[in-house]
Amino acid sequence: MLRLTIETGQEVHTADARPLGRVLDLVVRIGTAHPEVAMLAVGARRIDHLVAWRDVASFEHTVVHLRPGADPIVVVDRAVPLAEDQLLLVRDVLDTQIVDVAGRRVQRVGDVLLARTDDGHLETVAVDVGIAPVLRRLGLRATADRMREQAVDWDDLHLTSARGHAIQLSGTAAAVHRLDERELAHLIALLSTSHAADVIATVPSDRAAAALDASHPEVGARVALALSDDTAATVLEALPHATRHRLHGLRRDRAVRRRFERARGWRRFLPPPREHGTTP
Amino acid sequence: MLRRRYRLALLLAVVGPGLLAGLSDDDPAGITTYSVLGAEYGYRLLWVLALSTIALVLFHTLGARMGVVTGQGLIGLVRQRFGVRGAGAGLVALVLANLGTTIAEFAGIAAGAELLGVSRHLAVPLAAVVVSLLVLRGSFHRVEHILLALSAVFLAYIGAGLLADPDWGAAARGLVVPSMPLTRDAILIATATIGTTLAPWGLSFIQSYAVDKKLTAADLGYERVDVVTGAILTGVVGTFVVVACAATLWTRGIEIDSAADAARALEPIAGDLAATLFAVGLLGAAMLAASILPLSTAYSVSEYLGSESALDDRARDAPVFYATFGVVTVIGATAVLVPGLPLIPVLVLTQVLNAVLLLPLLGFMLAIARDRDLMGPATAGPGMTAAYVLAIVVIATCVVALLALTITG
Repeated sequence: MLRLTIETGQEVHTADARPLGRVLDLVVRIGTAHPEVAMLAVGARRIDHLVAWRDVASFEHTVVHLRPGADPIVVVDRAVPLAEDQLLLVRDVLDTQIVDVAGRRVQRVGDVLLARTDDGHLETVAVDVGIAPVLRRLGLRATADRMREQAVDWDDLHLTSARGHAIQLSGTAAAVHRLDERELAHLIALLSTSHAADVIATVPSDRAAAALDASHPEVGARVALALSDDTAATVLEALPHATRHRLHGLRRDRAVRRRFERARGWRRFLPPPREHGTTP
Repeated sequence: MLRRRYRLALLLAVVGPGLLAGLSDDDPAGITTYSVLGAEYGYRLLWVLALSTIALVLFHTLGARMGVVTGQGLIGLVRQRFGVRGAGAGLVALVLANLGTTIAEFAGIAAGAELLGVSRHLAVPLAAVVVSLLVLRGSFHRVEHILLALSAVFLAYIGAGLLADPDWGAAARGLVVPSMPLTRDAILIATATIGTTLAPWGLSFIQSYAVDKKLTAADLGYERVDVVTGAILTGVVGTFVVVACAATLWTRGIEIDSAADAARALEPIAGDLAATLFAVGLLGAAMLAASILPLSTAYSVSEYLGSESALDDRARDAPVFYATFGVVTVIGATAVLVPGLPLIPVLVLTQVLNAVLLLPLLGFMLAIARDRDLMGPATAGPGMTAAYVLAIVVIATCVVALLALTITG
């Protein structure tokens, strides 16, 4: 297994042995369970060039060689030209928060685990969220090697960085689109209110309503208050009458809204346990 | 009539949390530092407190904005922006400052208890156990308001300042006309005033407080009202502490060597009960801060190491979180039990340490405030950036001057 923090930083040489810069980041295209690396982001201190993976002759952690005729994209004015479904692993994933939707925890990415595929590509496999990658990056390799890896499969995570969150919601392969209402209720309890509202606005309104109904009342109310008028109109209509009446009332009353702007005492309000006899 | 009542209720709902936050900022270290400032330099250095309050408004509103926009605490955000090495440096600064301030809070508990005739050897361990149980057993949220009410005793300084017949002309001059004796002691107390007003723990706390409230960008206006209200209240109470001490202690040449000396500034309003009133305020404020500081530190350490924790996590699921909480509490409580430890210098010097350790944290905050990828439409513009830079330069000047005067003797 390869590690993003070890597989970046090496020099990139063109076919005629001219140095192009160092690998600063890797571009992946979201949309599959384990996205492949599409481009290398290369530069000295900031990204100057994007090199397509097909232009890479060899990729080692000491040096990268490009093929003859490689045609790197020049980055102008620091604006890295990414397609709508692409993100940068160092900028948008490493050291950012993720929600492990299987383990139902908020974690921070210490490293991204990569693997070479049979056809010579590099794909993202998982993220390591343990303490070991932090220690390893601080130079405490011996201590880190004695600790166990805490990997979260790429397919089980929801990114919370601005770009990662937006891309995952717009695609169809992300974890959020596979979750049932209970799992969605857990996810929105762990996300910030605006991200939770984005999730509710993205999934079909009947599932969104079921997730709000399954949530802790505090979380359901906060998220309902953050929904746009259009989304609220469709999602709240799909709720049971009592819940719909309560949430409509909250959206109308500014003083009541204010009550939610109090500290929560550093506690999570996870969905209440399902009552016996209810259908799963 | 009903409409007016509704508006009043709305206004109270708006300023209520801000008032609470402002009161909790006036901790024993702050009250003691402001007392020493007034008792030793009269009204002359009030401008330091005024500038510190402006910096407090600037950086607390920035911290709250960063929390609301990114949904992350300070150290987590620094790690996302600067990686594990940069965030590691920030974490070391924050933990050292928090340890120092936790010691100061337990020194406040010791001083308050001794004013009431209770030995610090009994009061401090008891307080450590009580605050730990309050936080960890889950009733902290309810008791928070009782502790805040106790620390509201410090509002009595406003009355004491008014009744002490101060020289208002000198106070106004001291507030707006900067002048500074170029002595090590004067620079030291000025630096401590900055460090206690704009404390590192306050920066990380206000940000995680905003995150914990799970606000959205649409709530930023209300949140700004809260934070500015709290910061100004801190400055107003601090100003009246200085004025009361200047009018009652400085005019009579009384220096503050113990909590009993500091309590005498409350005599104009409390008479013979001044010491008791001061002790109750110290205990309330100190216990509140001694609860929050280990908690805030534990969150920052967990955030850095990658496992975001909450108080409803079990100990086996969040060992780093609970271990940090325990270690900070034990070190804070044990340090003030060292025989013969002078409490007032401890309270002031830990605040000097705060000012020194503020600088890297403010640098990180400035860089994040300017980062459009992280802050989006809330990115700081040129005007706000200039204000942040100016505040950092002033603080750095104080710290450098203190170091220079200390080295040259």
